[in-house]
Amino acid sequence: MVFSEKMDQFIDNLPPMDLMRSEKMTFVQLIIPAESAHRAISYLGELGLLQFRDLNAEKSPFQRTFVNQVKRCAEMSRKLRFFKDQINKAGLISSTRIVLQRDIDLEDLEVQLAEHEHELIEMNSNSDKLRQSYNELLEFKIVLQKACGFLVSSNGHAVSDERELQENIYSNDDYVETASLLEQDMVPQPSNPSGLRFICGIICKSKVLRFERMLFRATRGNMLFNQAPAGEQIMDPVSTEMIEKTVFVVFFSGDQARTKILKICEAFGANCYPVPEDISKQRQITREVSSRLTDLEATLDAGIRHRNKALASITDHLANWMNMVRREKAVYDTLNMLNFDVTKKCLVGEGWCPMFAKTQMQEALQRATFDSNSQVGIIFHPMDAVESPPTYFRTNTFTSPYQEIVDAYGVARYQEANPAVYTTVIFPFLFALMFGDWGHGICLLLGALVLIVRENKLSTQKLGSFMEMLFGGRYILLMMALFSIYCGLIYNEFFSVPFHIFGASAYQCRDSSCRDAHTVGLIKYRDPYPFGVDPSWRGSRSELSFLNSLKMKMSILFGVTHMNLGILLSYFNARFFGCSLDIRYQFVPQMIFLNSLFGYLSLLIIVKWCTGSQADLYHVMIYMFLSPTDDLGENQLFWGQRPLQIVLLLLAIVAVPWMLFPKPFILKKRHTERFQGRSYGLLNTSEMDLEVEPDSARQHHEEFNFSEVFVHQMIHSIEFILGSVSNTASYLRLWALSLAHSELSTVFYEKVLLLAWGYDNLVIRLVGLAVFTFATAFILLMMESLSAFLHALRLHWVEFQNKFYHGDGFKFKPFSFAALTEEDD
Amino acid sequence: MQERHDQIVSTPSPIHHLQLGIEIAGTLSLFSPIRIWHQSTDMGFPATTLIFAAIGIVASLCTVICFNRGSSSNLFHLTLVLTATICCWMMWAIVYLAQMKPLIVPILSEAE
Repeated sequence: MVFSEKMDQFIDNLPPMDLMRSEKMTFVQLIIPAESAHRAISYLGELGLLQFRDLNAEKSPFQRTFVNQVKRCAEMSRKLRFFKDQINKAGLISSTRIVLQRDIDLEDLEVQLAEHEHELIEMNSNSDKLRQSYNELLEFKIVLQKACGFLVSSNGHAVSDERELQENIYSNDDYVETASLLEQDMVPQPSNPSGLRFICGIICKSKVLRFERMLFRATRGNMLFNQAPAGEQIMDPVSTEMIEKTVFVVFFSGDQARTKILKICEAFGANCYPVPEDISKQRQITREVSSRLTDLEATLDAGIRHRNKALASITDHLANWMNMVRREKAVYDTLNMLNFDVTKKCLVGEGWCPMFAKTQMQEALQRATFDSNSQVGIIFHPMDAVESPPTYFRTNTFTSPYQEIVDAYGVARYQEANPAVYTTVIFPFLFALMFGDWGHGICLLLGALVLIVRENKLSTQKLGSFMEMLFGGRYILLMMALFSIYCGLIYNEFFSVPFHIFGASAYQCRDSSCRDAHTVGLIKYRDPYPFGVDPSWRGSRSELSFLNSLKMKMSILFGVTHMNLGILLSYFNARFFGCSLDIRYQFVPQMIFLNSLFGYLSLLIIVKWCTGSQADLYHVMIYMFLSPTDDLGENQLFWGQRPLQIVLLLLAIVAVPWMLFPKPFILKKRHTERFQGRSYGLLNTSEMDLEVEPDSARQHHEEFNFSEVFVHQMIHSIEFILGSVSNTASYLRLWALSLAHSELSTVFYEKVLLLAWGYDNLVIRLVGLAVFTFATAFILLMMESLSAFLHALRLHWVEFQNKFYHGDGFKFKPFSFAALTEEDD
Repeated sequence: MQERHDQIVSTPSPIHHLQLGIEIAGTLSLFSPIRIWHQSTDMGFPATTLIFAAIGIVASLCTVICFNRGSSSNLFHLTLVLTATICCWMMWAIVYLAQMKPLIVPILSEAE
């Protein structure tokens, strides 16, 4: 008894371990006068340690107090996004420096942004119009070039009189100048219905065939269609895409044909341009068009330069503005969570904050009062809360990825033991058990070191989602690599090749001629190999039987140890929450059950190894259950085994009802004692069971549903009992994956590298080396890593954590400017 | 010890045949007493265990000295170092124990 008391004292006197339990939280109430509200919230946001509770949760976004300000912020961020788009389209590089300037007022910023936006929109529309004209003129020029060729050749067929009216039909109204040139020369004769006329235009190459067919059908074949590709890609004025176009000329006669053709041109989106038949006029028009084109180009360039200058002046401030607007919106969103009090002069807020941050917050609030020249101070006082506090772990760069992978399964309940403490070491270790090869471990180490050395540079860049995960887990990768190197040295595998690093092998041939080596094998003539697996095993025929036996037993031993650690953590949890019921009726029977069966198995494994007995452990365990009182015979490993087995079996059988029955009945007894007037003093006792909801005992003390509690306890016990077998077997995946890794490694080495190296040809050797490298990198390093990572994680999440972890808490999400990201826009 | 071993290897035929017969029968129980006699003075296991313990203590001391950031932080670091040491020792010990008195021996394959 003295020893257990001393142990208790020792445990109590230990300082609390850093990451073991979540930070103590306190529920606070803030009463802020209206004039210092904005500033106070901003300072609290910079501090980032208070999680506000939404007091207006039942109101819609439009009923809240500061809805207008939020709308204005949203509008401003829309304008900023528009600027960002424009900058990206123009191809300018935006700087990401964020300089904190507090003297920019929000209203000024709003006005500035509106001005800039207006300016930009105007410039954009102007340049769009100019660009459209430019494209049309470009098309006209190409049509002129190509169509001239047709017309020259067709002039031979047409009426030879050049001055006879050839009505040039055009559908664009802009070309008044060119039209005027034409009309001057045009002899205003009535249209000659029987003369040959033509229409020139340009159409998308993809539509040419259908266009021609449609024209053919519409004019009943009375037309001549000539086409030539434009030769270069042109920007279509309507759709602003670069597409291939074809110039066409349609020769026809008659008015009706003309209207029909025009309509068909319109339908197909072909642009028709007026081309004079006269060669000199053609040349004149071509010159005019060219000169207009150069003018337009110059104007467009000037316009683009002007716009880029405007954009450049915005670029410098853009990151800063976006940051400011984001913060303001966050502050107003938070202000919306507060309530106005009766006098309408103060805002009341409630939230959770960690105990260690109270002084910092009070200091920040005092600064806010001072800076806003308010007469009334801000009241900040703790309150009692009904609900359970959020969970907050203060992690650093090294421990935060481990905490994240634990949280991925479930966030810890407030102040329960954090598995991340042990996950930090055991997770990479279990990974390494499945990945054990020190060559591959060195590759992983190099990768991890590259990521860590370039930490600063990579953390500011925007990485793809896969790289981001890899970068976030760089310290996990480092630990995994180090442990892999250690396990690889123990398994004695370097890309599946064994080495004699730690001395000569313990095995040798039976005689100097070694003729028995291939039939009955070597013999062991000295102490076991001092560190790791003996190199003689590699490549031998009995390698797999030895290694399989070794790795399976190793998995069981590690599994039983890991699970015992889990149950031990449940003891520490019960002790912390003062739940002696859990200790006596859950921890003790669980330990007894697990260890009398699987702890005994581990003991048998060790005894068998130490004595070299030939007893089959399967038979030992099976007959322990089937016929425990029989004589052991060849299953005997040590003296006293039979009575020990009977005792352990009885203990295991007793443990089952021990964990199943007493607890619900005792809870029922306590409940009746407490709430049927027998004693009032037990209300705040710490001997409250946590299986029942923490707040329900206070609020719903009339409801104690015995059947529910009993069924819950039964499920918990059965889960443990059945789970002890299945979880122990589950640890055999450590063996399975390590075998797979070793076999894959062997195959690649022997069947790829050695095979290729056997030839004398350099090309074959290089090809073999390349295949070996790719196979190692993609299959062994990436796929096997992911696989081992996943299985080690599963062993933690299920087999380890279901012994003690509840994981039904919620994470502490403080209002913090640092946590605002671009996705919040 | 070496002479006795050589004696066994180069003994005249009767004992050699006996050995062969027993191996063909599949039990090695006749070998075990001889091997236990050989390796009863094996000091490798306790010695290396002490080496692991020493490395663990040195690592803990280094961690406490170099990263001293308060007692709660120290306890956390000590837990990490202790867990790592125990895991590594366990793995080495398991592999060592498994090879102490093996029931099967390496049988070389034909290619060698």
